[in-house]
Amino acid sequence: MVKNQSKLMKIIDKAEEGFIAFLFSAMVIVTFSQVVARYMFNSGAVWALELTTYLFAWLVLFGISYGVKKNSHLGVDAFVKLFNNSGRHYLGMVAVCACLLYGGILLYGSYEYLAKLIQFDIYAEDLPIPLWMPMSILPIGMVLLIFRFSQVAYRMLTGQQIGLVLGDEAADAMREYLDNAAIEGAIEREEKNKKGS
Amino acid sequence: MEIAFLFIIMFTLLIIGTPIAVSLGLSSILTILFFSQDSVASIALKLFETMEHYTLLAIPFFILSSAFLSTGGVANRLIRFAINCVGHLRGGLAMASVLACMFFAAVSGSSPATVVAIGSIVIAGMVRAGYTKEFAAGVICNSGTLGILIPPSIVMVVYAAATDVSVGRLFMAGVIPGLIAGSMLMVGIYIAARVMKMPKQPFAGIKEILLSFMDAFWGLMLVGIIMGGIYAGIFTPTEAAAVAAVYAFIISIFMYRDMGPLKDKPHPGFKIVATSIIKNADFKPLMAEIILIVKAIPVAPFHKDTIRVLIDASKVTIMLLFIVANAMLFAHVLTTERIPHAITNTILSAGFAPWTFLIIVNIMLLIAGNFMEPSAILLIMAPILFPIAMELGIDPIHLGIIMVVNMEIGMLTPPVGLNLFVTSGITGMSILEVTKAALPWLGILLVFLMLVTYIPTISTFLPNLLFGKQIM
Repeated sequence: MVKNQSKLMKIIDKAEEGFIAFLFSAMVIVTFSQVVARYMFNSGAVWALELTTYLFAWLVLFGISYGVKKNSHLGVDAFVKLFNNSGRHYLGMVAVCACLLYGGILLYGSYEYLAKLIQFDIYAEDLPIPLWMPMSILPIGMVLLIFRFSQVAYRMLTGQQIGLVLGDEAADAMREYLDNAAIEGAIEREEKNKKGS
Repeated sequence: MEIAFLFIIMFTLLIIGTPIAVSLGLSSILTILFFSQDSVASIALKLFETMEHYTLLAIPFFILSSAFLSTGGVANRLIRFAINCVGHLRGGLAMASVLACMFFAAVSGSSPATVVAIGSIVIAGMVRAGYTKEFAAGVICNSGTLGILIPPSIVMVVYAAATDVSVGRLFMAGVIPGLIAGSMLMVGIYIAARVMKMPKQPFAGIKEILLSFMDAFWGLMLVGIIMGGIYAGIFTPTEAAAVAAVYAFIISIFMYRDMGPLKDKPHPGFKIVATSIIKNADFKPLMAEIILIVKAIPVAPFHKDTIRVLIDASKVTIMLLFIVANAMLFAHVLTTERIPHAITNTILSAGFAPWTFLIIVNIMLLIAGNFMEPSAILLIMAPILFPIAMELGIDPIHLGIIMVVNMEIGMLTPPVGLNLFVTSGITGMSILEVTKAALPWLGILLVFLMLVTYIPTISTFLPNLLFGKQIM
């Protein structure tokens, strides 16, 4: 059961990362190809800019929940660190509730906005699609955000986690670098072993 | 009343450990709900609209290009070239690491990344060459801040988006201050090295300098493409950033080969290929190279290294843009409550001269820099400070550079000085030790801040020369 669960988690992880990587590379390709088209073929698509901004919005709004999962959102923890575990637990609960409230209000707002768009049948400026389609990432992103924060809240209530884990940019930069160094080191050692044998 | 509510909620959420983005967002949303007529739907729309901001679109591209070039390989090449240039002077290795940080800043738009990439290689080397660890850590910690002053710079893009100043102008404006700050640090090191009798390296020779330059050239070319392209009007800053990202991808995978499908197949070198063609009429090495590259082209975009870089860059983009979007919401509340207007009137009626106003700006930003993310500070402070500065006749570009330099110094002061944390991470020294080690050089940066604040020409000379005087 646990094994299956972790397997499922891995698949979801991969799917999320794949989607994010797809959105990002699509942004780069569309923008870059516009520059090429303008200089090589003296043309360009009117809808390219709009498409890029929608991709950008999808990347960020979809990615927020991924960021919650990976604990990459920055915050200030200097004050929280002054408390003992139970103090941190209560502060953390308040913080998570604030995040859930944030997601809830925005979910309601974006739902309302989307309903209006559908009701009045409004289209995007340049792309031939109804505006609610690109905008639908707002409620989707907020649902995902609420889901991820509820997971955090659940873990805190069941005692698996004390407080909200905040992103640490310094540690992240370090870890990435050390990972690379470790991989490079491992490859070097392997090569030496090969030469030795 | 509304404003007190806004700030109290924001600070309360912030100190109990809510993510910065949510603290900014929720406090603004609650203020709007309680005190204004705007609907919740319009707030949601505001959040979406941030990503439709054309200038901000440059940020993910700059993050991606620097992610491709932030590998140890590129840093090594820049360091080698830097050491060859100034290593033979007294204290040369320390000066070279400042120079290497300046080079790296021209490739990447972030400060902590610069410290990690250059520092993790150079500090160990400096200690081996006979410098004290404190000296090495202090130098790197400070020169790493040049990452956000020397273009391309993400913080500058954020300022441009907040104030509608041109990104191209702002980038150009960062060049001379960046060079001055780097030179001041180097002169400081040279004097210290003379007094403390620090070691110097043997002169590498002109040939080695040229060779190492050729090797570092492809990386350094990135800033050339960005600045040249913007200056010549070939593309907008946002397009320049996208081109830079594609360029960085090609360079890191096909030229430097630190990652991707060609990782284990080093470049044969132009010389070998050329001599075999000219002397022996042998096209085999050339053909082998071409086949290798052509084979790699379809694989490269889907290689696991490429995907990893994309994911890493996405994570940083998402984290940063989530903050930016909510800070924009916060700034929107400030503006609708006419706070900038009220503050402008107070300041003007108090009869502040431009120079006293700039002192206040510096002090406010230095304090704010101790507690918050630079981009969030810029987005909150810019709408407040900008109109006052305009009334007092301060150049918007000049104000931008002042704000960026303040953000630099904010990275060196506890409790939230990012560079201190990173330096402490790579050296194993405690935060307190790093802070002490960074202090003398921080003094140099403070003098530099004074120069930038009171001599506007330093910032405005180059953009005015290249783009013509700004019409306000």
